[in-house]
Amino acid sequence: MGDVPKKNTVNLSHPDDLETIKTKRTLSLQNPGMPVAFQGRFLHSSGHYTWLEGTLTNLLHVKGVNAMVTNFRDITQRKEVEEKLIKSEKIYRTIASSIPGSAICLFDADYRYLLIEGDMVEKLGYSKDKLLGNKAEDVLLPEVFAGIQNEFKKVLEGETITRESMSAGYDIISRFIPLKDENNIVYAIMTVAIDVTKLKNAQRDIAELNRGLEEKINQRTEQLRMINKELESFSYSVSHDLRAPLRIIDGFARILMEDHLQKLDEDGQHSLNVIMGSAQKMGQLIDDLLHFSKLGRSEMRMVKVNMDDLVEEVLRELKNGGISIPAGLKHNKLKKADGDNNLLKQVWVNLISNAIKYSGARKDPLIEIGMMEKNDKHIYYVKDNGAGFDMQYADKLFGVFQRLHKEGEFAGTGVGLALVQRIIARHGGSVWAEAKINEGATFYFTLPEHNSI
Amino acid sequence: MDIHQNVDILLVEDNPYEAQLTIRSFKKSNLANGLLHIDDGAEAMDFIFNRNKYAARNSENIPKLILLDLKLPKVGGLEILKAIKEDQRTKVIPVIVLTSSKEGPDIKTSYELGVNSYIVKPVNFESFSKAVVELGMYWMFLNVPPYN
Repeated sequence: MGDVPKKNTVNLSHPDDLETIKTKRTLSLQNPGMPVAFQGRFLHSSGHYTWLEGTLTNLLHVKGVNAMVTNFRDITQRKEVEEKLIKSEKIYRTIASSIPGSAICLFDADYRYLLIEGDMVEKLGYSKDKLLGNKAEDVLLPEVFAGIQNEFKKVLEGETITRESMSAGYDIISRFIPLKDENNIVYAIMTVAIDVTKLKNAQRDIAELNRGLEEKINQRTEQLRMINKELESFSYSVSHDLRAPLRIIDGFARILMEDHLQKLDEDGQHSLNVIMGSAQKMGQLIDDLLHFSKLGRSEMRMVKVNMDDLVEEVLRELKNGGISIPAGLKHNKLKKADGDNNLLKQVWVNLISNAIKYSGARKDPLIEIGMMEKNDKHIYYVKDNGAGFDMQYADKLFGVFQRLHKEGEFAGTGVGLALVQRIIARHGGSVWAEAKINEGATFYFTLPEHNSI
Repeated sequence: MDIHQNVDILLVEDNPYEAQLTIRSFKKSNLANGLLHIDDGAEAMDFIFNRNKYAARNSENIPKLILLDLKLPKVGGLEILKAIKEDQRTKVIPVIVLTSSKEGPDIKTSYELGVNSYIVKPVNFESFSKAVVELGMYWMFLNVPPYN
């Protein structure tokens, strides 16, 4: 009980409650001895209004008392909660009715429906009128109540719970939220249910699509694997089956050469040489092509490659293979690169032997192997002062079996640069060339860095 | 042929022209006298294991060298190689496998099966005939077979 308001009850009434209180007093005066209940705001001694609830009893006729007796208690706090609920109810109602596909309910601590709002209420098969004011356990199907009872209990202890469920053909996400007063006491439970059927359907569609996609990828991978396998066996039988008749052509031409040469005139002997030379050439083409397809398919082993060592190794091997390295060959310092050692070796072999081949006709062949740095990129190059080529045909340079020089001028099958390009492309780098006829050519390539190495 | 004829070299090769060229190389080195050419895998098996039309052959008379092509009709070269190397009576015979390609798993399989030598036939026939004759010489004359 707070401080008793001084003066009399009527004088201290809140102006808004004054009429009610006056009526109560009149009622009390007219009914001596009968307690009349009242509720209203009264001025506190400290200047603010408090809510009081009590009874007024006319005891004017009782000897020794001769007064109007008032019993009351302060209900300010309760009134405030009620006001809060009324205020928030409005908010909930507004929210729920303005969100399509939602349902908001408020329950008191006894699970009694205080508020039900939202278009989902009816869609889920409930009627607002039947629920409102009733306890959940009395109006819900026992199995439905059993399904939420646990959640309610936890929410009363202050927990917030989210759950997904399926109801009446709708995908629903429900949230159970405790409403707490200033002292952190849960005075009500709010449930918010949102229809997420469309979202769920989209999710299901995406999952379905993903499954389909995965299946398709697996199918394609399998197809690719089959094609690769076919290609492999094709390569194998090409090398096997095409080489056999070539060997026979060469062998029988050789029989003519060895045993019957005197019967052939000069023209016949020339024809024989062409036959044998062409058989050799075709053998070389088949070998190169196989090499090309094999390099394109082989597994890559990425390491830090010491390009200087690699170039020295290549020069040594070329020399051992009977190719004379010109005195004018300069090997500048190179930085390390990320790549497959064997494949990069093949790149250097092809570029360096090309440079030697195409500058071979000059008296003073110069070859420079080096590196430039541009925008953090390492650009390796092989430069020669040889035959060069017309830049007009530069796009044909890297095609398989493409040659920019006549057969008689320089030997070769036209696979070397195609191989270089394929290897660099597999590394994710690029290769290009600059040249001028009779002044030489420079071949450049870059390799991207791999952080994992 | 006379089935009792002494066979030093057995050439199993289905392509008649390839066979002709191989035989010619051996002839040039005077190695072709005891050479028998069989162009069919199944018949090669019959000869090696004295079966069917070769049943009456003297089983003591085994070839000193077998040149075996891998691609053969009916019974393949690897199958023949396996049979030879699994049989106590024939496993001592040196076998040279001939094939057109160094691609594929054949080389590894051949070695696993116990082949004595392996020749990848080059397109250039001169190299091939040189290789064949040199290997033939090695196995025929220089190598001391365990049964002598």
